[in-house]
Amino acid sequence: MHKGQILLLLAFFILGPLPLSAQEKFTLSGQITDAANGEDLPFVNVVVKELPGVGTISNVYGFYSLTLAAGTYTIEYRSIGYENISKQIQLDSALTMDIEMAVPEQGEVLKKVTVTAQKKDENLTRTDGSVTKINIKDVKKLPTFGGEPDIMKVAQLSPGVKTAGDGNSGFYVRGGGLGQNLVLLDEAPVYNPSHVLGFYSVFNSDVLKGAELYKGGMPAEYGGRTASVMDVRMKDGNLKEWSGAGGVGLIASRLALEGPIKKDKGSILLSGRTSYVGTYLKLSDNETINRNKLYFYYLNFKANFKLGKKDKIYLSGYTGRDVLRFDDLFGLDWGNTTATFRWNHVMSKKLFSNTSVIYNDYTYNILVNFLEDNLKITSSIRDFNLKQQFSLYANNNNTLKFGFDVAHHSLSPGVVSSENEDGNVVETDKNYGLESAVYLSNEQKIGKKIRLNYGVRFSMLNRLGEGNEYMYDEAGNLTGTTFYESGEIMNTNYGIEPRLSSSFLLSKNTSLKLNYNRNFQYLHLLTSSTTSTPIDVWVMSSNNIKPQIADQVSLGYYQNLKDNKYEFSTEVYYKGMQNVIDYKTGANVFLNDFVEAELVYGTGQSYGVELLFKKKVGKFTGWIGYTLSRTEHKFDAIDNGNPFPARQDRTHDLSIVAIYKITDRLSLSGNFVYYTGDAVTFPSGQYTLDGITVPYYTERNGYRMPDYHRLDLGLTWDFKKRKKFESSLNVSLYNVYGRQNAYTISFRENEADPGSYEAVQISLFRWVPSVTYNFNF
Amino acid sequence: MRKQSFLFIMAFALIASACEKIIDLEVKEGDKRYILDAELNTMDDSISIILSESVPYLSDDTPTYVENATVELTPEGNSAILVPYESNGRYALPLEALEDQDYKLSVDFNDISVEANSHLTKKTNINELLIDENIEGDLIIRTALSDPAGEDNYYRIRYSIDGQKMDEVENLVLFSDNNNDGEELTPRILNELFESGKKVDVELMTMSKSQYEYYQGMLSISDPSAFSYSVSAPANPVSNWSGDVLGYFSTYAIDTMSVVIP
Repeated sequence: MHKGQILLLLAFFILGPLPLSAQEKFTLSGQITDAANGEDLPFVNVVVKELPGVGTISNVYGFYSLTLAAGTYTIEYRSIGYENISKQIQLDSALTMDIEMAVPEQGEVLKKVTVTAQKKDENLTRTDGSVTKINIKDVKKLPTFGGEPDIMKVAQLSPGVKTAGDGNSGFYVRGGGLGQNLVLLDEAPVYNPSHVLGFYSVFNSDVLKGAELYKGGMPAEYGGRTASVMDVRMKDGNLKEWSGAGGVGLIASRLALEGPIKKDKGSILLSGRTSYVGTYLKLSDNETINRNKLYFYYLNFKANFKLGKKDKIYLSGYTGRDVLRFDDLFGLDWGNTTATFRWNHVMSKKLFSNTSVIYNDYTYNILVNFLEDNLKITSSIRDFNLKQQFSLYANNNNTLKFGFDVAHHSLSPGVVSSENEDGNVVETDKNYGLESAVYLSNEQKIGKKIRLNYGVRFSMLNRLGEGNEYMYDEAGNLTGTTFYESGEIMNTNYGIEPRLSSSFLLSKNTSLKLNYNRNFQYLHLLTSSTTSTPIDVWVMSSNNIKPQIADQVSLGYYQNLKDNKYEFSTEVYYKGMQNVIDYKTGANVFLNDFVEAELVYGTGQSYGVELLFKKKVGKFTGWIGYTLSRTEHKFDAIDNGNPFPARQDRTHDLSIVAIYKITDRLSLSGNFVYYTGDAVTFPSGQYTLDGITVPYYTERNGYRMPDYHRLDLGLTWDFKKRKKFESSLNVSLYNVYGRQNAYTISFRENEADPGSYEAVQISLFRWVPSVTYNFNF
Repeated sequence: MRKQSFLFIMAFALIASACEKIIDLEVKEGDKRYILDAELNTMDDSISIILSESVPYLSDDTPTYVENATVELTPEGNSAILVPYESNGRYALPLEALEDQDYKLSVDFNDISVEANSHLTKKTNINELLIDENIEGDLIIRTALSDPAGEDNYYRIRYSIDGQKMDEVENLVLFSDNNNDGEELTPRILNELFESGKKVDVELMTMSKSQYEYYQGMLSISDPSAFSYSVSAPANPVSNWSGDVLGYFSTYAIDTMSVVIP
């Protein structure tokens, strides 16, 4: 086929069949905001009443664009929790129409169910099958530790998303590891989203607009991690009036304030949270406990300003710190800092541009006052990132997104300084890299029943000097070193990542969704194979470390029942993984310049079936999620090349969430989780060598930690609203029946019977009660 | 990272009011494996091999010894020497161990033939033993040595107090000259039994890199409380025996020195 013909065919496919008549077309576009606070409203359905199936959805910045033949139309704007808006328009030239949507008054909600109900079957028609959309209003209803809602905890109650366990906010998605999730806060990556004790994540729901968790079928605009993308967006700040929200609890308190800098033009938002759990430690009579410290704090900031009809700028940031001190012996503090500058520009009625400049940093310090050592170890990962994205509303059936990302990574695995007299400073090699990507995707409607989102991403990592490139033989012995000057390219890895997500409406109430995605990951988290700590070591792909690659295909069946009151979905998935990383026996990855020689590479696969049944309306709401899955890794260097279960292989994973509204003001909520214990390696025998008892192993991850299960309950009382002031009291109990779930299992010599050993289990948190007073005004 | 992770978990667990309990863990009984624990060193000038079978984990069973093996030692450039059986699974023979020489050990038993090669390195001498205190006020003994420059050296310290060997895992001291090539080194040993009037015999043992890595691997899995905070999943250390047996053929060049704590 001639090249010109191919291009023509491609253009036809992307842009859709051209109209046969020469009727003139015009574009209706605008910005959709919340009438109460001026916040941009994303994902609002914009439909044309006279043309069933024709419409669009506002983007994450509230911008929409719709091109129609000249004529008179009724345009309807629908979004969950807002009153529908209907506008009559005469389209005979390009038209800009900004829309403000209002939340109905309390009393009107019940009367106007049909009016306020958004397109309830949106879950059927969205192409992104493997996506969990997290609504902040839902988050606030659930029982959580300390009475404070947490977006990460809610995400972990979805099928296919599994918590990393007590004391950790990390999560596993469809067999992926902890470091394979891309967590974004206003586009800035957050390398460690966990606060101390793992009960709180770094996200304060009071200042969030919403979040989406992609388990598969990620659009081409996302990249850099193989398992999932969690895209969290902060509120912009109230453009209309000053308002606030907060909470006072037994463990932590928080406050957020937002208001206009100039009404309807610009606003500012500030929020903070601090914990004082360490204060309780001082109450203990036990010196081993009362000499410890434990707290965290963080601050969020956001400002936005409209520079005219076509431009809007945003500046947002986050900084937080966790501090743990164990007597004078040991200290650890860690935290993330992010800053995002964003510029939205409406280039034309059909072309929207978003430019972002992003900074993020994750640093931890370890203080060891161990015997006569008095050491401080500092490790950090820091990025500067430029993103440019264009959205082209080509026609009513095709919306193209294209753009590029460039991120400069700088990794400092460890600087060890001593406070002793000799004051030696030892610094491991710093690593630099430039990760870049270009992408193109198209969201296409074919008829009324088929929606596609397909695209491709080309990604690349260039390792940069100044630094050493090491060469190793197969046994991991160093065979050569090449030094590169600052900015010189040391080596390059790259890959092509095709993406597809699709939905096929089978009937009014059922749809099928098919996704495929290939993801490359160039930054790798080296975590402990057994327990999770904030002591993360990140390494970059290089001449020795190949990028991790995941190919995933999933098929989902979605059905809404009883006039969309109930929702049922099931998905099956298969994920193949290449260049999975593990460690050589006895590997030392900490403060080691030659860490690449300590790693081994293999393959992996994960497959499973996920079920979700949800009741969305009524006094009693909630869901049941269940996942049956298997995740295996395979390394030539481990277990003679036989596949073995990955640590995160969880055969069964069950979440039950229920909320019962006892009265208008009182609601009871509960969640129950159950999952198969992590796969773990224990010895199968022992022997004596040189006078020392040595265990011996027959297989990797051949054992299981005990199964995990837990029930949490919460009771929320909403106080009577006074003018604008609303408040509620939340009483919750975490781990209601005091299950001792295993945090670690280790072995020690039996004091009563020297020479024999016993297994010791450590569990965290039994019966943790909390009382929190929440308010907003 | 192990030490940091251990401290984090301990601190975390304590602060989080963690509960600790003994659990009844059903361990799988793996197939019995043969263990070959062989050592040749310049101090004893003898070769010693103990051939035994493994026992189930968490048990206090005594091991079964293999008495019918044929053990032969071949020093580099020499013919094989038969090592006779003594008792309790031990095969031994007085023999002058030479520095900077390769040795091969062959063992035949129960239709199994295995062999191991090991390089006996050059000796590094102890300059002096220094008695000191750490910041906690505990007595420590520093072994002063001059690391030979321009080569990678791997060391172990073994010691006894009043003739009693301190061979528990927590007293196993391993170090290398990585980052300290050619420098004066003063590794320390600490023991709560150090008291005035006690005689401490210190052995400074040099060994090959692979032997050092084996002991490091063994150390990482032998501390029974360390399962939870190793970065890598625990696994058997890489042995120099050719077949499917556990253990190591170790060769050491040893210098010794004694001190009486004042």
